Amino acid sequence: MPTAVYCDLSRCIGCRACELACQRENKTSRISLEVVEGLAPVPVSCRQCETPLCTAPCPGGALRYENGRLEYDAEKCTGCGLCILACPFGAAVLKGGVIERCDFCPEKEIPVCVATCPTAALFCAEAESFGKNIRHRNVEKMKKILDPSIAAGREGRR
Amino acid sequence: MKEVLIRPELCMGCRSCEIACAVEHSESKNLFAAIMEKPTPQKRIYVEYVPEYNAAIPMTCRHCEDAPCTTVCPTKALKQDEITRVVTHSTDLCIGCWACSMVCNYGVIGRQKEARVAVKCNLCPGREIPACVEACPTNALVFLEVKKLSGVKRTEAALKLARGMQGKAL
Amino acid sequence: MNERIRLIIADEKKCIGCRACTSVCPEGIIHFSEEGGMRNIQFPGSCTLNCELCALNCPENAIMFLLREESNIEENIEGKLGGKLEGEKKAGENRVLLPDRIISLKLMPCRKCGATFATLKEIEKVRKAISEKVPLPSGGDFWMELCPGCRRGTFREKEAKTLLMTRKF
Repeated sequence: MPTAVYCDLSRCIGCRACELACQRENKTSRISLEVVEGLAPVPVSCRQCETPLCTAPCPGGALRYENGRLEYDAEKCTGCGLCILACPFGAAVLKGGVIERCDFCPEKEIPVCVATCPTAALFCAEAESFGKNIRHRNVEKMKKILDPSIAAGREGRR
Repeated sequence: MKEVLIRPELCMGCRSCEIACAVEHSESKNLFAAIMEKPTPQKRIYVEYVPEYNAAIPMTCRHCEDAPCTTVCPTKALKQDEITRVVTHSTDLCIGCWACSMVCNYGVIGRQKEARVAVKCNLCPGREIPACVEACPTNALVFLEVKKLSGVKRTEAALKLARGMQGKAL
Repeated sequence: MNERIRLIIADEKKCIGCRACTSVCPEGIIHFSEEGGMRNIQFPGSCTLNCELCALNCPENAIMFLLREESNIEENIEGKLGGKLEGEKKAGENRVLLPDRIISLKLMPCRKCGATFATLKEIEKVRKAISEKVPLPSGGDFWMELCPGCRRGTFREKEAKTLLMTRKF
């Protein structure tokens, strides 16, 4: 099950601490944050797609989907940049002949951007957990508007 | 357009809807065979239990107007029919980026383990009444147009009011 | 001179203009530039390095090497390319010395911002590779007409738009 870094947009304040942390860690930041005019700041980084399109045109097999995750082998990279053209999210850049793409900080316990984010907007999760978390959040909201008669009804049935 | 609407006050959390949904989306359409099937048939309706109220709320795709999932999907695997408003998902166009799952306000987009793609309620296109609605023993799930359900609720509320007003001077 | 000079033969028909060769060349003797809506890759006619990295990394196998000694047979060069190659015979020599060659490819402008970001051949190759993986309908890969910056921007806009709906909810 792949783990990727996602962002809870309701918490993002656009401070760019994530960009800075990533840049300190790597040559160049693999997460890119911009403010959508009048709406919200949104960070973009590799989504670890489970049917990745970036692997399709890779001639040297440097980008591969293996062991349930996207792997990048810089040794095999030809620097052709075709993967960058394939990605629908524009999540990778070519720098110095190799691809700079979020690899979820494999050597760390949690990715540096997630660790640095001051509002805990960035989080590491598996896709399956999204739905559950959102539903639980909704249930919390619903408690405010749930008809008290439901509770009464339950007691009666017992 | 008819939708799967929920009356949570009638839900007792039996999860028959979940099982019926998964079986309907299996190859064999039979509970006992479906358990052994690969890829594992997946439910698209979720019954959430609220412990404080001892209540259960079934949650399924609302086929939202201007659906957020359809907006973010890069390959248009998620598409919304202009007229019926039904949001459909095509497995072979799905790249598993999970943008849809993140923006869904109801958290009702799931993941198919083996195929690594999204799964979502499609209002059971092959059936007259969706499987979950048919399976519900208490009619907590109904397949009606919104205005019809509003009508039903109005009738019920009017009845309660009238009962309450009985014997009181107007 | 014991130095073996390798002649570089770059096939214009196969080249997609991806710049892999310019990236991997350790001496940087392959130059690329962009102007007037075209990407130009300039190949020197010969090179004294022994690496052949450009040929190894070319995704289209568009680069070939010939030792200079073999080049006294002109048909050799022409035969390798399956067509005529304009070589030059230096005065007094009866061997061909290849001149610098520039391969020019048309660039595609981003539909949104107009900046050029890839050659048409690169886009074609990537589109084909994607369609073999995911059967997108025609026009289903809208992002291929946008530069990576605008792809990020488009995706950002979509996500921000949905956030607006959530806030109301």
